[in-house]
Amino acid sequence: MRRAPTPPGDMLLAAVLAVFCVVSLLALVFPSVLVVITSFNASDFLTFPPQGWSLRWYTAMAKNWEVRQAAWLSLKVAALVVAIDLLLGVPAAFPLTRARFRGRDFLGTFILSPLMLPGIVIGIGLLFFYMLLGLSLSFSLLVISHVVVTLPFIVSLTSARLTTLDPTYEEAALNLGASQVQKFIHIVLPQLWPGVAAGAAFAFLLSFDNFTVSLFTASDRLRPLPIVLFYLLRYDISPLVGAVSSLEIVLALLVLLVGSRLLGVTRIAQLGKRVT
Amino acid sequence: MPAVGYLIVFLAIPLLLLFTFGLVDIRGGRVVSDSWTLEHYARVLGDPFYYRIFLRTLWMGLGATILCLIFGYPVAYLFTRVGPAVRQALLVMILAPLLTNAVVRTFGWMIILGGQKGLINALLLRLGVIEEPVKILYTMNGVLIGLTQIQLPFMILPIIAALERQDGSLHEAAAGLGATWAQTFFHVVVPLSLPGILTGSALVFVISYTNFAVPALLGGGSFAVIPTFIFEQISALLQWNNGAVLASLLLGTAMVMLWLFNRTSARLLRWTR
Repeated sequence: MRRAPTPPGDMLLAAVLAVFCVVSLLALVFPSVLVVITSFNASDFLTFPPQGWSLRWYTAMAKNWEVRQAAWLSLKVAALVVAIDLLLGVPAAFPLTRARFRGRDFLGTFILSPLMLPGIVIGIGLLFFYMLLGLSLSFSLLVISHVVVTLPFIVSLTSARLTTLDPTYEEAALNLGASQVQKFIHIVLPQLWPGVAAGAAFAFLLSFDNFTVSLFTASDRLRPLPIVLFYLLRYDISPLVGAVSSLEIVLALLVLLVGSRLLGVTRIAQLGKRVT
Repeated sequence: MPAVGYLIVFLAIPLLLLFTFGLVDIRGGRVVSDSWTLEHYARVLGDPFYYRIFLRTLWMGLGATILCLIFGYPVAYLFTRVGPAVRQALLVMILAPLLTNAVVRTFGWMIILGGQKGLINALLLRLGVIEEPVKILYTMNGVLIGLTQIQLPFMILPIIAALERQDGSLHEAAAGLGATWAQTFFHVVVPLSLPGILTGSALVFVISYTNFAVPALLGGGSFAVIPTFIFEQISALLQWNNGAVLASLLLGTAMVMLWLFNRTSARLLRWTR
């Protein structure tokens, strides 16, 4: 059987789609690859391709007091934020998925609304709120502010996992004489934890990477890492930034790896649609 | 639920404050007037300077949205046409930038677009395409390129979802009736994916329209859009009244645009069924 010749329109469309695909996939990946390559640059300026290789910017980063302070601050903030997120978010997931009451959908939308609202508006609102109360910007206020924008992740990932659990296991446990606490620890938690852990990993990353909310709610003396990076780039493009950025890229890939192990890549993609 | 209480105190009240701070007099972080005033809104709305910045911001948001659509759609289409292994690889490529810090991703573009030493200029100069370096960094074009890359995942993911919902038998029916692949693509595939296109466009528009990091870094110090202007007003100049009015208008206009997108997509959804 002879195949009909491919119509010229089809070939043209295929060519155009292929070109756009290649360009956008390159654009998605290339900048991060470039950042990592140039971080091993030996010269004083950012040039590509690098003229000689060295680890000098990594040693410079390790010696830089401001960057070290900022990284330590961001780690502490993110760890505390995740702890508070878990305490607030996991219990909220239960009534949102299992209870039936009026206004449940509204409450769900309200809890997820920080994902839809522009970070700049949330940051300014919080700054105004703290100033009106006469509080000066501090470590705890930064933690409180980050919880607002990361809480929806724990709630939505825990809820997503909860809806997939089969309630008959829990009924069986109760029928066999387990208490509510025993049921939660032995039946619910072991099935729930991948969702909770993935939520915690993303919340950690989101707090560690948060820029816009920190811009308004971090004081000049307590600058988290993304803010320090921003000022390093705004006034003078320092090659030091490349070393710090490379570490951040590695961290993001790690979280993606952990998340996809726990939930599968497809579920993370579904989450991505809701993130703004 | 404690979570709801938390968000009422630290989200709902601050947002209400943001709106009220444009309607009272504030000096040095204190409310100094005892009655409401529309004076700050009148000052902003009566000044053509702000219209220009708002228009530039709108163009920044719409431009990034159109670019994301043009470059994102082919990737989403490719995703639905390949096997599971390639799909996994594509998803990692799409998701990894989403999880990378915005400042870091912008830094990558500064290396590419940068002045004389930037990658694009170095390449074009060596190839002899240009004789003088072209200025991309610190222009609107640079900002649009950076925004497009950062928001691409938000466009690609909803379009993938819409394409996956399509009934494959429709494509076969079109082919059976003698349509070429290109005809099927433009008359069946694309129209049926319009709801995904609109969801993606709404997301990309709102994030680009309110983005601070990209215009601040890729636009340079003198590039003013509403988010960078608000930051300057609030943090450097302590003009909180101005900042509150502009932030309220930014959120308000973004919401109007979202509502328009939603209304159109609701109509289209009815039509595609």
